[in-house]
Amino acid sequence: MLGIGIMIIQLVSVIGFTAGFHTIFEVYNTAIPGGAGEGTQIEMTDPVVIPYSISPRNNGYLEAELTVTLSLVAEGEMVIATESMEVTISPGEQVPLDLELTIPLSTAQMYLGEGSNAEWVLELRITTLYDLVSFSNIITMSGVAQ
Amino acid sequence: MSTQRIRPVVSAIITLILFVVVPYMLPEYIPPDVNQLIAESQIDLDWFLNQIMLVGAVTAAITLVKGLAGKTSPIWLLAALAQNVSSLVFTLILFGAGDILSLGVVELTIYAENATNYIVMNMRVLIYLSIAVVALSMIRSYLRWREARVEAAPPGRIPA
Repeated sequence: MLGIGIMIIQLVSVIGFTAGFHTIFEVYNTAIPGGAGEGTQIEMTDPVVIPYSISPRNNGYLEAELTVTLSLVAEGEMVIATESMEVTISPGEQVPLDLELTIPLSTAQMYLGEGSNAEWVLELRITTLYDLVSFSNIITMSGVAQ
Repeated sequence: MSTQRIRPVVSAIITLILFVVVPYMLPEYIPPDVNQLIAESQIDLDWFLNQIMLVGAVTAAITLVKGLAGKTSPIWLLAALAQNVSSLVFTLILFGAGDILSLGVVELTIYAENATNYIVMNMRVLIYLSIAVVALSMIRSYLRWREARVEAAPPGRIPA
């Protein structure tokens, strides 16, 4: 009886680990921008609107929750603008996710100009298996000047 | 040498090969790009593999002792309990990327040219499940040992 209990827990662990991480990496692979920050042309309108769009797809077997946070940070900790979105992606589903950072023109000129020390901070957090397994990646990119 | 003596020796050798010889040889077979990624992620691969090898060697020794000790002897019980603990330590090392105290939460920082990646993987639930498995396995080992002692005791005598 005890042996069967042990076997069931071991089986649940292996299946949970495999399915959980398979789901996480499938979602992550489609959520991570290719060459983050590259190719985005910022138009200096007032206010400056910086779009960020991804279409993560869940090719895994479990439901996943994805939280994407995009921020423009100066001096290492001063948040100039931030936008966050949370989506639940069912297995086999693809969900478009559009974020927009809105910055007043004067602020944008200060931090998006040449010689600025501002950084883009992109946080991707994926949880699955009823929030029991999670993966988060905070990407900090320097050199925001366009 | 009887089969009963050969089996623990074979088990110990297999444990040694899997958890000592394989980790020892592993660095030679890691592709250079993966090796660079490991170096960038600041994981101390040598430290990680040394811990695996140490636990592997201890587990092999425990397997040998347990196999050679009689099932009714207290040494068998101690070895069985130690074997369960060593499997938990192995899980903690594996899911903590070498850091036992992280309890399944791995934190990595990868530095690239213009970007820094800070990665956190939370696998703590697997550690809790492993603790449950080890606790149940320890109870099972104790019950097996008790049973063996009862069977080995002369009729009418209850073993202490």
